[in-house]
Amino acid sequence: MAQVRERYDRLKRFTFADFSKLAAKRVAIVGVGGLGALAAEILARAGVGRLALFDYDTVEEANLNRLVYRTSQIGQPKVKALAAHLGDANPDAEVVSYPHDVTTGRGYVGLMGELDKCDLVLGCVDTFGVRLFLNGKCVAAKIPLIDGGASENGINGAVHVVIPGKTPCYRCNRPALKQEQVTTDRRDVTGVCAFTSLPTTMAIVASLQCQEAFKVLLKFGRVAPLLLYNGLDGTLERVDWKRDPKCPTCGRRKT
Amino acid sequence: MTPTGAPLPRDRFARPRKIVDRYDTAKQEDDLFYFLLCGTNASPPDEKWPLRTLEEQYALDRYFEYLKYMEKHAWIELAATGPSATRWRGKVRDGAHAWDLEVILKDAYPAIPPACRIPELMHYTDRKIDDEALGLRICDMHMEQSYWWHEHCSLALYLKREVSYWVQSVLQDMRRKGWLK
Repeated sequence: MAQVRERYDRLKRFTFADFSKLAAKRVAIVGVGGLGALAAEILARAGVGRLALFDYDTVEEANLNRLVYRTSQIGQPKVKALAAHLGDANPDAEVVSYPHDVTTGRGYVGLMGELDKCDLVLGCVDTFGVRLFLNGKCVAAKIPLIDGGASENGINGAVHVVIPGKTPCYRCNRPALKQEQVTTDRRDVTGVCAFTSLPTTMAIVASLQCQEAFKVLLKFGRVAPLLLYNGLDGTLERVDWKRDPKCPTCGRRKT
Repeated sequence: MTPTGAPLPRDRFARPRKIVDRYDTAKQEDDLFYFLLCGTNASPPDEKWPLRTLEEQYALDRYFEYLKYMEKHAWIELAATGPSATRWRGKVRDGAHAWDLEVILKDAYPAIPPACRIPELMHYTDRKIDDEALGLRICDMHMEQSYWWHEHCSLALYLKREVSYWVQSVLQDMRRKGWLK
């Protein structure tokens, strides 16, 4: 017991919020790749009571430059490998792993079940469609969603904080998604879609996600609806954008 | 004025109508394919899914008609494998060549686009695992700038806007390399 008290000693000195409340919180993390694995580790070490991890992928050698996984874990499902790691990092945290795709089958059912229970969802996925799907489900269930992502070139990042009814959802203010303005030019599809992934950018974005997650869970500070990180210039910009009343997902006048 | 000469009753709450210039907004060719949209927003686990299935089938039939009679080139055929209509199989044709096509509508559909693959052309994507259900698949809308999907889009529209361009570019590349005569 003395060890447990020692573990959170530095967090108890934090004056803006009571971190001991994290023990009663549940967080679902969708995607435990470059962002999700780091975010899960930060949250588990800070003392979040229950973490639900979703990812159907397995650990590959190409992941080892930036993730918390070890060489001996190559071939294992990412969620299982991460659950073992988090169990060592903080045995207090209860980790539930779903090695399934959240958009179908058992993963979908698992996500719907977790949405009823969790206090926050962390979106760490690499597909735009799944981001919108998570956004829609979280807005419908009135659960905060914090989505993080890095740019294709790996140097810039963005964090969206979606608090349903308060901050703009992921779909608000995106003219590219409006039906009238769809661009349908014939795209030059080369068939290659391997994006750069820089460990530093990933760590920065994951940390920003967790910082906002603490603010949402413990209700301190001023939540930033959108944070834009520019790695080339070394700038971090806060964007206070407004909700779109005609947003098909969260607007009062849905089209 | 009415036929009797009396003035028309004025509606106190009448507002000027917004005039929409259809010819101005219909800039893109695909805007004319509104009949490939579905009215029902329902996922496979939902009660209204059978209705959505009917709309999907209707849109697909209209698209095949369009290909047959307008473009004179029915390069694709697709049919549901079961009554749930979540799995579709068919062929992609180019001259004497034909490739199998498989499409899956997941539980999250239509919030996410269909998952589609052409197994024999899969070496054109480099992602080792992109989809739990299908394994390798067609490399499509990953990023915002190329994303156009919304809940009312149909499978037929997906074939028109994604699969057709992907197949075109792959075949063009294969011809350039001499793999396809």
